[in-house]
Amino acid sequence: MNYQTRFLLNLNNCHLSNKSTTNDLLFSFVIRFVIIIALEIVCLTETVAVEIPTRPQPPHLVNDFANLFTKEQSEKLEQYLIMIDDSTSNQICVVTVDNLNGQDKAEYATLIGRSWGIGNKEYNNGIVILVKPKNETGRGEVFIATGYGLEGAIPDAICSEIIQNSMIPFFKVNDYYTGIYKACDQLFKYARKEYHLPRKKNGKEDKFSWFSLIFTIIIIFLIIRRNSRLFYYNATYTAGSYLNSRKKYNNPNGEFSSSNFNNNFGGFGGGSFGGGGAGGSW
Amino acid sequence: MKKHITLISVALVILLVVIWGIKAYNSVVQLEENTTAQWAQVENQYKRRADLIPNLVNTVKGYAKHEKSTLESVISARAKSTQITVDPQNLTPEKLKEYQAAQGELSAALGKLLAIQENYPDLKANQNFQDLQAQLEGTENRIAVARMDFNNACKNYNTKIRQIPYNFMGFETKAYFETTEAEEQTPNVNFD
Repeated sequence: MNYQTRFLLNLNNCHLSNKSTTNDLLFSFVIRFVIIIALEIVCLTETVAVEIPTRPQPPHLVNDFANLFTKEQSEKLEQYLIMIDDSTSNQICVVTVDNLNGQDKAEYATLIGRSWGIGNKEYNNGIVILVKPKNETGRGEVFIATGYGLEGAIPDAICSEIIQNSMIPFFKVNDYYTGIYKACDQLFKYARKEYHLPRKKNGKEDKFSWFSLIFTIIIIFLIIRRNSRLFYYNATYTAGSYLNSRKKYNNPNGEFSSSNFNNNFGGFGGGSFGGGGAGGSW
Repeated sequence: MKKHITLISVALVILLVVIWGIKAYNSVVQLEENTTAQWAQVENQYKRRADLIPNLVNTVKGYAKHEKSTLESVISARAKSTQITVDPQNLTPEKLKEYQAAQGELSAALGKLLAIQENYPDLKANQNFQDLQAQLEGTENRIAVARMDFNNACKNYNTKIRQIPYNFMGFETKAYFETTEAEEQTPNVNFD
């Protein structure tokens, strides 16, 4: 993008000094050309084969889709997980579902971790605890998926031991809360050894992108150049919504006041998963 | 003056087209590099699995001495699979198929080995064996993820190079990594 920006700035200067209409036409043509190319470069498709729940809005660390917890339990667990996130930046996300729809639990948990972006981007220190209770659709299934950054601190064998010793005995008597709470407790202790620094205030970094700079320059330029009414409104509308979306992005806490919990979970950080972890069934 | 401006404009348009051409070419190169990187991940995970096997075989040996044929088939399949390496710059369908077949054979042999634990309660209860099994399962999951990432990278790359104008740049399509029949047969562990 560097070249393009420099090029655009040159064009700007050149344009301001010569106010002829041919140049004007050519310039708008060039700009359109640049936008199309830029869009083409930016756009990349991504495919997800397995169907998983969409990321909750607002984000929660406890996502009890199968209704295994009471409201108090849910709140208590959420507060505990937020404490872990705030104090060590490790994110443990609990997801319960009624039905895996025949999908592999390891893949399911890994994809939840990836697409929700659990853990932060720098350390990839997220954990997904996926629980499917024993019900009419089949056996109970549980999987603990560890993010890339935690594969060393919490090896698969440890995950497996936690599942066998702390979770399944409680799950068998339908005490999902105790089993999951105990597991979180142990996972926290292992994860703490690797990542123990508090979460940064603003988890998401706002990266400066050349694309948005060019875009802004173009819009400002259009506003200045074309003083036709219709165009003016269009341009300000685009610029306005663009600025709004930026504001939202900068302040992930802004929309949490509507949440049921009185929490201050700072949102998922964009961590990634590579298939680490272990599972069990009962 | 007017002639000058036209000339400059034409020159700028040509410059822009050249820059755009370079950018387009580079974007494909980037996607190609990505497939190479993802392939390295796939190989890493298979290697990790191969590294776990000697330990697993030794543990099983201690409890199930007369399962000799099962153990031997795992060892020979492992030896065979580690001999085949694929050059990431040259991911031809034939080469990938060969690699898949060797790894698939090892998967099948491992499945049989893990299934015999049902006949040996002592082995099943052994902590070392349980840990190894968890690691092995974790590796299989990582293989699945790495393979998915590799296929996605190939798909992005293959889709790109078939589009105009990238199809004129002389890039070749890359083969996908599909599961073989042997791998589809996951070990049936009886819980009764």
